[in-house]
Amino acid sequence: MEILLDKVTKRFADTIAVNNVNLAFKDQSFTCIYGPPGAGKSTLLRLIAGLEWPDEGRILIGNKNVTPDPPMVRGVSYIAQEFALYPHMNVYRNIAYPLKIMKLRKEEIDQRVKESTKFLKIDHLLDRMPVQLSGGEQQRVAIARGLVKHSEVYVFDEPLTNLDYKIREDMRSEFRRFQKELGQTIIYATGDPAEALSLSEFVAIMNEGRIIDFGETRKIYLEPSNLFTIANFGYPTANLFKGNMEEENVFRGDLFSIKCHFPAEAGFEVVAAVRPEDLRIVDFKPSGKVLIEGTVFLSDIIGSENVIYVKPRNLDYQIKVLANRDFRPSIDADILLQIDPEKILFYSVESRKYLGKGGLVIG
Amino acid sequence: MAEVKLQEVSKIFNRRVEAVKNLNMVVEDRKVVCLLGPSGCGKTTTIRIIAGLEDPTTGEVYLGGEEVTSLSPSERDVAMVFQFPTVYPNLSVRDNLAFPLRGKNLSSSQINNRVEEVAKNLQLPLRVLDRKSGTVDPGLRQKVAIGRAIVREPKVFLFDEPLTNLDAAARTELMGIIKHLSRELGQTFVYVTHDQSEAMSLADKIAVMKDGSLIQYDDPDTIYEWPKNRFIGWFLGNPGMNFLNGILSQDRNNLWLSFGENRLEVSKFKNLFSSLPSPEVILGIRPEYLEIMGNSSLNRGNMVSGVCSFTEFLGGRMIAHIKLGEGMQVKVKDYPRPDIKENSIVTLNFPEDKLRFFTPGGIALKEE
Repeated sequence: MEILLDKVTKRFADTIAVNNVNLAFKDQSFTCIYGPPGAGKSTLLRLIAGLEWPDEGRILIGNKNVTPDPPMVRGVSYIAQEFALYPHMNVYRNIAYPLKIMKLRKEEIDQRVKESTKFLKIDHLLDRMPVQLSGGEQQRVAIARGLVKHSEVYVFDEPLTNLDYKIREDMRSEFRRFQKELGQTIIYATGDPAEALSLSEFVAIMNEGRIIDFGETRKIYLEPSNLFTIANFGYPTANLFKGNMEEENVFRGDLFSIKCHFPAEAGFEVVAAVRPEDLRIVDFKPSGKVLIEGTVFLSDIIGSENVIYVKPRNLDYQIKVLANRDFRPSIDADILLQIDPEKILFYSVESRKYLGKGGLVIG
Repeated sequence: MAEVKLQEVSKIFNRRVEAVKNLNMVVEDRKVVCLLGPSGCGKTTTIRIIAGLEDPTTGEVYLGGEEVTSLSPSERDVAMVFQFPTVYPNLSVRDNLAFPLRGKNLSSSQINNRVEEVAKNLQLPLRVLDRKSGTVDPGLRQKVAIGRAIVREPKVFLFDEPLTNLDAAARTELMGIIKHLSRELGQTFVYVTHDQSEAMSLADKIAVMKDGSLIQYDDPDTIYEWPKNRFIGWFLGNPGMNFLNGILSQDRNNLWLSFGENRLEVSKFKNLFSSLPSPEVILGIRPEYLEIMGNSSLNRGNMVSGVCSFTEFLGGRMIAHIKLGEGMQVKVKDYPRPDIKENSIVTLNFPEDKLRFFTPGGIALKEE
């Protein structure tokens, strides 16, 4: 089912939770809504599910205007972060419950419960009561209870946030598999960039009630249209170098200067952004590259990778470099960093807009 | 000296549930030790026993060489930071930080200096100090809770999943601060977490717990490279180790490990397998150590080929899920490679020095 949000606004008292949002979710697509806490993600999902009504705008599901419709008739399954299981029912009955309400045949109910629990690897827990389950198991029961409805649209509100890291990692692959096999339209809110990256085909970046970036996840990651996105959407987040735009498209920064490929007005504060994986540690000085001399400040193993923090000479920056786990420079060691100038993204500080990419290194 | 020692510590709840089983462990003075494990492994009960918030059913707790098993939390020189920040919401940040210092015969300027010193350590801007603690965001509130622990200058700091309820940005920031403090303060830290990357980033030593027992206690690299069992191999790393069920076979010159249609030469590891009762062996290899060799379907030496089921783009890295045969799937972590996609045929190199072997029961094989 295709879903269309047309100029949707929702206010609570004097705050605007969702501010004039226009979004089109393609049929059978997987879209993450990524944003910090309080960005309005939950409200947006609840508007789609029909748990809130917009103050302005329209919501269309499969070309039908559902704006005034109650949740039951929208065909949207909503799975909340704070889920509630019926404590007096075992896992099987918890999952079967919505199907009983739908008055399905017993055999049909049985088949759907078994199918969904097998999928989520909880088919060995059918006789357990909710109190006998771990948090991760309970969450999977809540998801299964949504899946059995065979809705065409699923809306997930940070379903993995309260789970153990390792369960989260496993569940991410499950979600991918789930959507690939069943082909529903999925909208999934998360505050974790790594989760949004690994899960989604499309991503909408949300901040302060507005959608500030929307598109294919890989494209948004590689070329965000907004300073907020480049500063937040990544793990570890991008390095931001301050500077000014001068005459003839020259970016003059604290650490390097670039003659940019794109035309830009002079006299503006500009940020040059470089992803941690686009920095290389080198032991010679190639020409045509940005080179930064510094010392290792911190080397931080994050699971299977190492993030190296480099302090450039005489400047108060900490530059993050994503390296393989077995690369371990010692603290305070001198280090030479190289950046390919073609990979640098430039943003206006004032408008926060993307200016362009790449240029030539100048002295 | 503030070494923490647990001697034969067990905890049984309601006469039935064994939360901690015969735990023997020493946290050396001024070291950072992470208790790592899934929910329900007993790590929180263990740290609460160290704090004195739970009494062990049997066994003894020592702090700095002194037995403290029967002492109350306030009589032990420890400070604990919880998952949910414990602050007085109606007091200002400044008063929260000063609270543990009241009644210690300090002048108000001494208290003020100490509070501002701690605020600086926590990278708390001074303007925040006069805000009510209940009105600041959760990340800041947790900073205040950590600050309240620091001002007391205890010998041992205890952290019980302090970052679990924070958003990604606040988590990263606080992780940096805790790491900085662990160096700056030079005190003993015990830190409970379910997140292996937090543990590896922070710890001098990691204690992996499962079902109430300590199953490996080593430095982070040893645990990562030489997990004692299959569970630990899976639990550490993002994603964890790959496992393939294999069968050993010997031909005229070589020893092979076959899994499905594929096989690897493992003659070098002959001694390792000598004590096995059957030819069944589990091969373990970490996703980042598998090397993608290109799209051709060669099958020589330590190369094995398969078909890509799907890829996960992670920004700076990608994970390719490669099917090597029926029911046999491995994850490969590499730089993003647009040439690898669904249905690509991929040849993988299994570097010999990165191969790990386990019994069918999941216990690591290691040369004596």
